[in-house]
Amino acid sequence: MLDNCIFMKEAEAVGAAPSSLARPGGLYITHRAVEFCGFTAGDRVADIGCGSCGTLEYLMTTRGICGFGLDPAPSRLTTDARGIWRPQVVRGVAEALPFKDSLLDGLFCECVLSLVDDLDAALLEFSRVLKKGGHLIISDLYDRTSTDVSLPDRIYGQSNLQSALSKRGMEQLLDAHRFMLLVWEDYTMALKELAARLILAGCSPDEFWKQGCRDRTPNPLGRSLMSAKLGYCLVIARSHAP
Amino acid sequence: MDQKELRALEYRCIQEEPPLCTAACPLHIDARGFIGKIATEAWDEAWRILTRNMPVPNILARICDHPCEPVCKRREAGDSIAVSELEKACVSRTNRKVKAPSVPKRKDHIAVVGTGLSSLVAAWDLLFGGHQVTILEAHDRPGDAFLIFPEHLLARSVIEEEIAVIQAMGGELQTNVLMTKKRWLEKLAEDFDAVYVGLDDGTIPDIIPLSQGMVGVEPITLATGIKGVFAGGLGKMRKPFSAIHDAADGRKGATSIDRFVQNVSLTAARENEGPCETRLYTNIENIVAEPVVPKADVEGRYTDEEAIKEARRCIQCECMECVKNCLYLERFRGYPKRYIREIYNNEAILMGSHGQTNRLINSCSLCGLCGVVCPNDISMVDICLEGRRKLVERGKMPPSAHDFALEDMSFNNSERFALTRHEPSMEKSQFFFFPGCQLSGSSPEQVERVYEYLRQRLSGGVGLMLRCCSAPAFWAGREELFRDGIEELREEWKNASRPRMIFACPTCYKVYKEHLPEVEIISLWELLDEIGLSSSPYPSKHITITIHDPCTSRSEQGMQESVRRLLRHLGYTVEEVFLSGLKTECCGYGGLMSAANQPLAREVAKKRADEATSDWVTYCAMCRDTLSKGDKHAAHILDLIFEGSENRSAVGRKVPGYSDRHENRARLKERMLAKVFGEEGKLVEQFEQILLSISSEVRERMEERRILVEDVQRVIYHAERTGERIYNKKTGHWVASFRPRTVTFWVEYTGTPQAYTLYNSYCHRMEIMGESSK
Amino acid sequence: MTVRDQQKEKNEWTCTRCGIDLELAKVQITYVGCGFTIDALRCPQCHLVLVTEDMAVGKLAEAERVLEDK
Repeated sequence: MLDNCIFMKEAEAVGAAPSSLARPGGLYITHRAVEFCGFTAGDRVADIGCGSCGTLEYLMTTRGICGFGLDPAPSRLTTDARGIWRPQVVRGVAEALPFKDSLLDGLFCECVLSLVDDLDAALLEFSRVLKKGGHLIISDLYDRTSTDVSLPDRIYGQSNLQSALSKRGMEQLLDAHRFMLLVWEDYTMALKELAARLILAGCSPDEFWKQGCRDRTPNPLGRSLMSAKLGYCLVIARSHAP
Repeated sequence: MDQKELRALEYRCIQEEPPLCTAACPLHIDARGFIGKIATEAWDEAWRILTRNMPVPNILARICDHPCEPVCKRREAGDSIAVSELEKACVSRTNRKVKAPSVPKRKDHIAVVGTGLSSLVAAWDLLFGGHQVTILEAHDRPGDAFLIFPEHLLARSVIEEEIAVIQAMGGELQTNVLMTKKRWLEKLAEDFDAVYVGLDDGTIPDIIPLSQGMVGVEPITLATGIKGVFAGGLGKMRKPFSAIHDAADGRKGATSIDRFVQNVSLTAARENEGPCETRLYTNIENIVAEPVVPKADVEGRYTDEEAIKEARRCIQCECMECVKNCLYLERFRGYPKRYIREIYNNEAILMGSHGQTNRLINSCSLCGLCGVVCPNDISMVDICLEGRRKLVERGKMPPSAHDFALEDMSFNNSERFALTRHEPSMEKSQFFFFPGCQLSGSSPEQVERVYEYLRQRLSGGVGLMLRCCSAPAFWAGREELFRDGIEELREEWKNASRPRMIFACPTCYKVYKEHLPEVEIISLWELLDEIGLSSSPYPSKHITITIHDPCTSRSEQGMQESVRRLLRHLGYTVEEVFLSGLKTECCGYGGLMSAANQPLAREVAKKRADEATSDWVTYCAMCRDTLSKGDKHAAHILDLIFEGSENRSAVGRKVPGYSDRHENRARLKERMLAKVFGEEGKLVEQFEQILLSISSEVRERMEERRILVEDVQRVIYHAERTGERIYNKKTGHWVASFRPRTVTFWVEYTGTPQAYTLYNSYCHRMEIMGESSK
Repeated sequence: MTVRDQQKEKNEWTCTRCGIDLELAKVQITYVGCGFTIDALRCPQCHLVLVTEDMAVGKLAEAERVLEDK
């Protein structure tokens, strides 16, 4: 009956109670990506914008992977780390990754790309630090209304924080940086579920989103959801750059 | 619809076709936009629009030979717009220059020979494309080709300043270049990456052999026999002389060169260069003929006032015929081409459903007016119906869009209302009267009277069938539900020995006509017209009424004419609005618009109601009810036919709410069974026995929230039976809930089984786990 | 609504069948295949839940709209 409920799916997949990760889909989308890419212990993986390390913990507990975390403000994080194993978190931003060339097998960018100022710089970095054939996992908001294929879907090089990328915009961005698109899945239901959950808990989705995104929001989330401009997607791509 | 059909339909919408001026212009200048800005005195923006596409504007705008003017649509209502005068006014009122483009510089070097118009245009375009340009002038000063124009039209200083702009953009000008040496051009082609030769310069030596005044260039690309050399601009060789065509050549040459140096196809996708045809249609029915605004300073330019006045004569050609006549299309700020794309791209590209698009699909009244007024017969009906069906198929139809209407339909086909009976004491009836669910819900007493009248006047027996024709299922995109409904109707008809069906409602009539073709049908109106209301016409009442044709009567001319004859027979003077008959508008109920998009439906109803000065008369119960909600009066024709009985005017009666409609229908069946067919009525359900006292304020709130009295009765019945009530110590009221199907109803009440008082009622669709339901 | 307001409201309502005051509890609700938890007043004995008008036309209606994609 609850076949749309992404949190039920997450619980099944993760084998635990729904995570406190308040992002669309919780860990279910992460789980889906990890399954698809087939990461195993020994793989080098990084989580860009790791926040409270939910993904890194998941990778460790389910696959035995020691991942790197990257966040512009790591000081908030270490207090949330539990247990003996502590994720290795460094300070940094997507546009300037402190990793060597061709180091990583996988790179997670969950709910973060829509906040990056310079997408081209970030993608350049991603393609630099990923091995050839390495996987890039992006999950984020996207603009569902942009279907007019003749218009530019995003103005590159400009900090256009008022708009999320459209599907086509993302495809163009990946293509320009020599990533091959493997998976595109729509999880707008998860986004709506999260918004509904917030509404029912008495929070305004706009406020929540602002907090989590340090005041650099795309269109006010609530209104965009109501006018159905925003959706949520999972994108998995493979790096082809040598 | 498959992609091919979709593309074909999209193509038929011509709204994005260019206006005649732009189509005829070899440079496709957006004259319409430019003139529109002058009309609003936005001179800066006018300049921007003009110079977006027009090269060397300070020169070209002054000397353009305006092929747009002879084809301007305005000439069918007076004189063409003086486009060239407006352009001249725009560039000469200020001394504005175009800014150098900020584009990354390319590495290639292009040579442009000559400083006639086509060369300057070529240089201009190439510089905007980031190419490095060297302009070669044979004489000691550039621009002598322009000396053919009088000084007052094109001053020498303007020419020099515009050439200086080209230099400021990075164009290098070399004068006194020797061009007479043998193979000079071939050598030039070797030294530069590409060359454009402007033959309209008129002052350069014969460097390309001419034969019979025609230049040996390839017409699409302007390529010459020498690789990398392009030539154009016929100048004085073109008869008549046309500056704009020379400019177009310059542009064409620049485009070719741009592709040439990038090693890209020179010929691909160049069909739209130069003047072209347009399919745009513009309705000028209501445009009054006006002459062109005269220019006081004959040798000069329009003054600002003259220009603005002339600009305001521009029609701003566009089609938008459907949008002009439909509030729904206007509200979504688009036109069919865009809507078709949105609805079907939604399907093809995205996996999920799409909020705004759902609204678009569900808000159409399916009335078909757009198809009638469109020059290419495009109707949103098929598009929206298909869209709804797809949504239902994929399980993406939002429940709250049509649920209420479908529940109403299921009530109408239930035991509470559905009835099929032959004429009393007859085994077979030649006719069956099918009043429809809305007439029965709104004016049950009229149904009784009509039935009696028909039994009196027709021989062979008249039976009665009370049901819903299933139109709501059709409108909601519920194909299976609709098919089942039609099957049931077919069975009922067969079991009743295939009578001829008489319909009061144009919608029921249409459903049978389109989906049950084997049934012989006639509308009540044509029948009454045929058998007559009385032997002689009634005396004139000296009352004028305006007729509203229900949207489902659109193509039924016979029905429409019968109604008018009936009204005139009754002594009324019948007035028509412009949008009547074939072009009638929907009242706001059709296609379930009022169910899916109440605010829009209210606006539509008000707009329609306001279109008449006198009161409305119509022949659909829903139209009557919808139009009377505002401050206009609307009568159903039956109210006029059976007027004056029971000392009350049926015309001014209140519009019954949802609960009242259910009650009216159920009572109608009971009365008919008891009075006419001599049968016992059905036992009243237990919950229906609950007596409630409801204030008008609470009633109104219930109407808004679509809560029926029977819903409230069910809750109280359940609460009293199970004891599941919550008591509020502060107010002393009880609160209880019940979820019959997909909605949970809450009720705040007090009282005893003899008399309950209702204080409030609300509902929600979210389901509480573990709550009680049927 | 503040905690104090919630407390105040809590003491207003009694379950008629069980005769006890309603208490705040975590209640499960579902819509279009998604499940959620909300704080609502409920009888601690028979688990009869109260949805107030504010909740119904407020939070619930808004959440329904977001989920429905109308």
